[in-house]
Amino acid sequence: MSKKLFKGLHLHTKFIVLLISVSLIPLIIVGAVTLTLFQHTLESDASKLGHQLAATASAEAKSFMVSQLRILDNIAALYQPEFPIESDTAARVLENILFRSDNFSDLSVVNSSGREIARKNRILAITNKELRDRGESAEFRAVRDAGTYIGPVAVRNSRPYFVFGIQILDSRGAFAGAVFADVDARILPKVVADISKNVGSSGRVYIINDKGIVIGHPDISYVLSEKDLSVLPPVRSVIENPLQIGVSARYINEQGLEVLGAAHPVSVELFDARSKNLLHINWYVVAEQPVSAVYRGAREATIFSVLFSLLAVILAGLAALFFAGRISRPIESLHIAAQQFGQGNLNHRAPIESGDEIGDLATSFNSMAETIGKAMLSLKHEEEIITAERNKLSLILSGITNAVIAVDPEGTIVLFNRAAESLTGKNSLNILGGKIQDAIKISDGTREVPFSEYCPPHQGSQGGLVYRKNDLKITDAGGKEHIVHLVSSRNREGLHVHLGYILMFQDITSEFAMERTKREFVSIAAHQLRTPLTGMKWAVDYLLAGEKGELQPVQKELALQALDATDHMIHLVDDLLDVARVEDGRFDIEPSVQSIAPILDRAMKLFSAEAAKKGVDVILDIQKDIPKLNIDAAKMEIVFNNVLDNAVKYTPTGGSIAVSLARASGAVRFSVGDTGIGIPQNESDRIFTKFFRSSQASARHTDGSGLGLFISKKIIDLHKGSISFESKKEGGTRFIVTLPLVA
Amino acid sequence: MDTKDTIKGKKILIIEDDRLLHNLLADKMMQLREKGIEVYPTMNAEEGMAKAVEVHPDLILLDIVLPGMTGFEFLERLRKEAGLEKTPVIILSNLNADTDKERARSLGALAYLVKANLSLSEISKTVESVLHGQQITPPKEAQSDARQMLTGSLVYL
Repeated sequence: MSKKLFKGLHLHTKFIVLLISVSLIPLIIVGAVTLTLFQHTLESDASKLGHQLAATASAEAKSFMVSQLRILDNIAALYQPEFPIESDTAARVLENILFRSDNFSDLSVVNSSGREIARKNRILAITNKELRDRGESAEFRAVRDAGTYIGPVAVRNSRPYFVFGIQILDSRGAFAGAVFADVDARILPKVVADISKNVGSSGRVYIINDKGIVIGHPDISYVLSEKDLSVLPPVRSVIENPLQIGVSARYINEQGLEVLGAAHPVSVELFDARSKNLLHINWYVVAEQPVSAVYRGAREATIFSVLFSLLAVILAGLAALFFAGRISRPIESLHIAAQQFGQGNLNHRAPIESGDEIGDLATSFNSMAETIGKAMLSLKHEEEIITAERNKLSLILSGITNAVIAVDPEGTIVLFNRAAESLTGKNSLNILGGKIQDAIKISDGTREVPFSEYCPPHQGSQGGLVYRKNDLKITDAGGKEHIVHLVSSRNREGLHVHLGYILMFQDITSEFAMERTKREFVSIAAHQLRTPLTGMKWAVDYLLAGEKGELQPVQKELALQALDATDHMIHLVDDLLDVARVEDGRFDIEPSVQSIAPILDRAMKLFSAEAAKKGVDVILDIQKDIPKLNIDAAKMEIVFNNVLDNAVKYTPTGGSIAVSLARASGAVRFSVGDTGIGIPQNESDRIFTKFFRSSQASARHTDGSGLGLFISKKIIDLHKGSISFESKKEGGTRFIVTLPLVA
Repeated sequence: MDTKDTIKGKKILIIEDDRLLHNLLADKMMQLREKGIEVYPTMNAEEGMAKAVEVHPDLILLDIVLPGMTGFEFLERLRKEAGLEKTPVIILSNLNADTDKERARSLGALAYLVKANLSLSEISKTVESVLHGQQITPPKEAQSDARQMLTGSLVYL
């Protein structure tokens, strides 16, 4: 969350935050450490002061007690049974001692059974009758057992006092009585007042006994009311554990003041030389100082350091503003420049404001912008050219009457022109991106042409034509069948990139229909021509056969010529039909592997008869072991008939024809040489064309359609063979046909 | 060889619409009557069908291009007539396309002869051969091209 917040800040703000943090954090750490140390010092000072106070109090209390006990010791000496003094004298000395000391309010001497034998009081005049028996009192028993006694502080007549007691021993050291004194306890407040001077005006020092009862306090009412302060933490702590020395605590005292207080034991040990007893007094000095006073220095230091920190923040902020601006402004300028550049403002440049790395960056940025700007400009120019080219291409494609479809190597349609839409009846919007295999079914009449056939898989980088087929069928969206001519080219672009295929469909449905009509027409026309010719042929034949009476020789001759002419015409009709087939590409062969000799034999039978009739010699030379060839027998017979027919026709009586069939290198060679009229050299290149008739042939003969050699050449071409001729002027002609051996 | 006896009583049905051809063909075939053969010339397929059903001929000479029902349609119907399914039929037409010959073959015609390429006597001889029940099995190579007719050979199916 905060991370996100920081990320969202401007660079400038980040710099400021960073600089302030960097300058302030050490300051705060140092301040905090110093303050803590300072506070510790204060606390430790307060604690030390407590010890000193306690020691002072202990010493004063001890010296006071010792001095009082010494006085009592003197009295005890006075009342030693063996001491040679009158009781009155002793009483006067006792009275003297009482009034000379401010501290005693009552002095009494008892005998070994506890009965007072002398007593002097500061206020009262004591008669002998008023002497008490203290034999049962606690102080007497304590003195008798322990030698010396210091009682607890008690209050009488609004005055605190405690009872001191000491033994009287006889010369033999036996217990002979005791001296008791009521000692004014105001000495303790005096001690307290003395040492309180050391804790300042706001602090206080007081003494408590081992029960937590105040026995010495600047405010005497505390002592008189025997105030129990055992609830205060340091007091409670030392009462519970007397061996602790210097227990400090911070607490609210009974006056409602927050103080730092410490309790220290006041240990007074008095050694009674006679009884060899050690007397312990366990009091405690409690020194309290208000927290406000103790930490005043610390508070002042805190306030000072906070003020100082604030000043540092302001200074750091100003410095941060200054430096952050200096650092971030060039970066922000760069940022703006990059933004402008990104928005297409290619002329915008970053200002160079410094010589440091940011300045270098700006320079680099500008030079990059320069380069990119130039590149963009040239790209834009290129793009304009490409767009123009594309528009031109798209115009051409939409204007073109052939359906053009471009597909990628997998068959996805990437281009579908208007003619393709009208051919398939499908909208290019629905078809682009789809597979051509799904969009268009191409049939060759018996099966669907698979995609891999018209778009064969990529082999090498070779582009160009990959498939071409006529009379394919496509059914459009409306169910209408179209006959198309398909040309498929592989799109070659680059050495390794195969962009796909361009398919061009030429809708030849109407041409196909027209072609069929034409074909039917030719077929019917041939039929219609043949029928009357057949009638003529049969009728003349009938006459010639003498079925209707014998003809005169002249009549017979005419009838024969009519029959010849009719046959020639029938032959001509057949030739014309073949030529028509050759013309529209329907003339084809159906070859099979077979012997060629029998075919030639059949043709020879007819022509041998004709040649004999004409008086022309035929020399036939068929080599043995002619291999079988892949040929169409019927078509080959047409070739033989035509070539032999020509030879017989153009060879005059008395001439000869040499027919040979022999093996040649890689082929079989058929040749027909005659001694006929020959063909002039200048006509040699037209001999295999339609309706060609040699000028010499025309001059001498009337028949011959001029189509035989044209058709023969076509047949030999279909067999992948060759047909040629050699002709010598008046030396005859030789036709040579070669047919390839079966591979 | 006593051919007269074997072909005596045989019936030939001719279906040819061209008047001249019809007359010449009928005239030529009538010469076979001397050999005891009966000839039934008709001018169209309907007439021919009626006659075929009536006389159950032993051979039919059938033209293709006919008014009304064509020769092919006649052949199709003939193959469905009781007793006429196997009647030998020689197509006698001036149509010379491979497709026509192919169709005739599929309809069970015995031979396909192109009229223009044959003389009447050649047709007559062929008819006699068929009536004699002679097998006409020419070399395989010569089967499909009408140009053979120039030489007088037949196209056998």
